[in-house]
Amino acid sequence: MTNQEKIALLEETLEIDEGTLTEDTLLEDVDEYDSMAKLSLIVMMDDEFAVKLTGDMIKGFQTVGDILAVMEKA
Amino acid sequence: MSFFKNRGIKISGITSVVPANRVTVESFSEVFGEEIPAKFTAGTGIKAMYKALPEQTASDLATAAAEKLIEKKEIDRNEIGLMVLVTQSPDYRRPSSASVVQKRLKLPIECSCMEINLGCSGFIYGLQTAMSLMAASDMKYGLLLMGETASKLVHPFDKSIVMMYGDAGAAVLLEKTEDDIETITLLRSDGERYKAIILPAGGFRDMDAPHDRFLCSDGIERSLYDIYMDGTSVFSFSISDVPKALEDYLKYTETTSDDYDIFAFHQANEFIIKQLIRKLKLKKDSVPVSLDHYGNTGGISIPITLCDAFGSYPDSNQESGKESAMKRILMSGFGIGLSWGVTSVSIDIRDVFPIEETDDYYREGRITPDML
Repeated sequence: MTNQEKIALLEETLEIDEGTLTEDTLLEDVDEYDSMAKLSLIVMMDDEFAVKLTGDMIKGFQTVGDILAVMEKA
Repeated sequence: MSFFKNRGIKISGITSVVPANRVTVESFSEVFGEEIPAKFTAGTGIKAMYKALPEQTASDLATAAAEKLIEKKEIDRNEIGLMVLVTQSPDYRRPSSASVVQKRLKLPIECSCMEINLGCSGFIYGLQTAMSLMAASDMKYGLLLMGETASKLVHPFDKSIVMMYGDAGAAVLLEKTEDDIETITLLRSDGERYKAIILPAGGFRDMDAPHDRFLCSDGIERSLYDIYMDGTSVFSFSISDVPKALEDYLKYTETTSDDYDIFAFHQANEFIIKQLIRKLKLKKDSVPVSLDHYGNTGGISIPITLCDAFGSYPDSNQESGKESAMKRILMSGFGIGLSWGVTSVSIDIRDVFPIEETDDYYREGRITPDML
């Protein structure tokens, strides 16, 4: 999966308009990235990549790029 | 592998009660403003819950549910040989509340009484414990009782869970039967994750724990006497370990989801229930939801969901005969511990009674110095 595809998947998961996010986007600037969006992120990572996100991993995410980095098949 | 089998024990009655004190999520807008409660309801599905009065304890709720069950089923108390109480909100540090409930229910001294300290998985664990004890005895009836007042453990400004916990009690009548029925149960636990949901102070590990509040990593202020939940980890557990256990159960029992009429899941939040429906490819209308009106009532959420769904039967379906009243129900409870379990039973839903409200509490239970 290319980075562009990953970003598109992330936008879909977080219910954000297409083309809004870049690798450098700070998550704290994304209004939609709230506690419910994080639950959707956990589900997507489990479904698509078999990655189990922990609370500590999510706390460690600062940019969209940080999330893209773990979007690899476990 | 922790699979258990019990023969010849059936569930022949279920009652649930809530305190007579309904609190809506909307009413929290006075504390948090309008946006937070609205988002909470949108995310969890919880709209209201019932919270115990300050004097009302988990054992009061369990006792009230048991009294209603004994009355509705017209049971002779002297034929009850076992009472298992599941709660994490005891009246005293010791003895267990099971002793208090035995006295209040006037159960005979020949009745064995005990308590199990479990939360959201407690219905499944309690059922298996009670059934196996009964199967190894000559008793006719056993009672599984549950009571919880988790709302008392939450810091009032903890927006992550103050709108989530509802208080409740439940009672289940177990009966020996000549019918050839087998109950298969799966129980699992993972102590590695014991801190995922924890109330650190008040036990014996840190008897002088300070009462000061501090800022937790989720940005919410709590003291060590307030319950803490790592919501992300608990959510991950609920959508991975729990469906895995359900799949393992179906495989072990050589059944598929088509073999069950109803799926009664722990009512943690609606998002989790939706994930279970999706992962197990269930029909939405076979998965009753009660958390909208009662919140997360811990282990009681399975019996309260059944009472909510079937308590008014047969009023809604006068023509139904015995056959259609029998429902095959797959149940799963999961949470604090972490601890989880799966079981399935057949229940005649005419034995499932409506949820009632109670403001009763045990006045003599408050021990004052002149009593000792």
